[in-house]
Amino acid sequence: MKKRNIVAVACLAIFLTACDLSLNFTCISSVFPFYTDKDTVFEPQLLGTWQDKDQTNDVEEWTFEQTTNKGYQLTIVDDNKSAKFDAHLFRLGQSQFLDLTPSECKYDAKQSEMVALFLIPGHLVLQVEQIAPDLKMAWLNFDWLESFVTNNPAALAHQKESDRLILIADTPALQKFLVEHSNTNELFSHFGTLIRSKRKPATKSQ
Amino acid sequence: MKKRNLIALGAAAVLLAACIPSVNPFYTDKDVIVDSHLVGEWQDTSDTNNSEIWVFEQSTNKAFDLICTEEGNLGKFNAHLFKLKDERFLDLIPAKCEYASNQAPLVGLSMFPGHLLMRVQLSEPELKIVHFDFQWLAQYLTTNSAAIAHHSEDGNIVLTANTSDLQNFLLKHLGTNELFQRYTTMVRRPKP
Repeated sequence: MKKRNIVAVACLAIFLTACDLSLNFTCISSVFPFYTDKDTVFEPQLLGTWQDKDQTNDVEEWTFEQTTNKGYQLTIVDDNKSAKFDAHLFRLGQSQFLDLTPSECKYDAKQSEMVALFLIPGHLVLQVEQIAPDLKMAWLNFDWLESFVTNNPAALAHQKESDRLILIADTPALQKFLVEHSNTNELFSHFGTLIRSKRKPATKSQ
Repeated sequence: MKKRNLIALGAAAVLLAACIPSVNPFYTDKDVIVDSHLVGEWQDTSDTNNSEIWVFEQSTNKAFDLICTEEGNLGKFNAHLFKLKDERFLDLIPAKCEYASNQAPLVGLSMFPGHLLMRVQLSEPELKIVHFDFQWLAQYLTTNSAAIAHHSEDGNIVLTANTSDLQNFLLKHLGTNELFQRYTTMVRRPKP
């Protein structure tokens, strides 16, 4: 059985290859960040390399490193694939969240450079329930969110492009929505646990 | 020197990120027009190596498929020709995006496609196209931030205005040295 990586918890593996934009994605990204500078917190315990608690072989690792201004660089390495994200931990009321946006994007070398001109890096958000000793986080429940905004279109500004939902609400509206729905076991419902990596410090990706 | 594609040419040596896409389309269904003259293979007249070819094919429902070939590399787009007042425009959005195979999939799942716009003059045997002058637009938004809804992050700008506001903005800034400045002329590619 293929390992359940932390991404796959929310995003089915069928989406993990080439992205045909006409498909109905389950991942929903936001044009605007979910945080403002005043919400960000720096938590040193987040630094380091984490792996899924249930993984034994073929480990996916998430490595958080400090950058400037209360930000983190997150490097994900999985099956010899890697990615870098700008990550911001932030607090709204009693709840903590992590905002991720790609800091770089590499395209298929056989694809016209023109395609990249149209692509917009979106923001994803996780709720962070606990950082130490284990890191417990949950992605947005994309199915629930899609269903909710379909039935309540005025609840959060969004746009559908080729059946893919994109959030275009500004940061205050996003935060209001997060606060309203984060503790109802609806918006964030499937928490996964990461533990400190048992390997040597993570190999830096290119 | 590596040739830059037609859109990147307009961004003239600025980073690729200098393009300003829109989350919303620039057209509504009622604006869309059909002109079968657009169908066919076009090449830039200034491109002596013929390295960039644009092929328009009629798709369904008044849309076109645009296939751009650039030095052997392919890009596929959904294109809608539409008219506002007496001006013709082409709205483009990628039909497909492929990411590097050594990149973790979460990056692709975070990215989403935006729309770019071209102003079009189609008069056989030429197709003249010009996209936004991104430098002008970025500068304009710096000094007129309320002019049209947008989001600016790390130097990248995304238009978040709805289609109606986008169209009003377009029509307001058609003048010389505003949104559209330097046309590229394309001609039909000779049959092999």
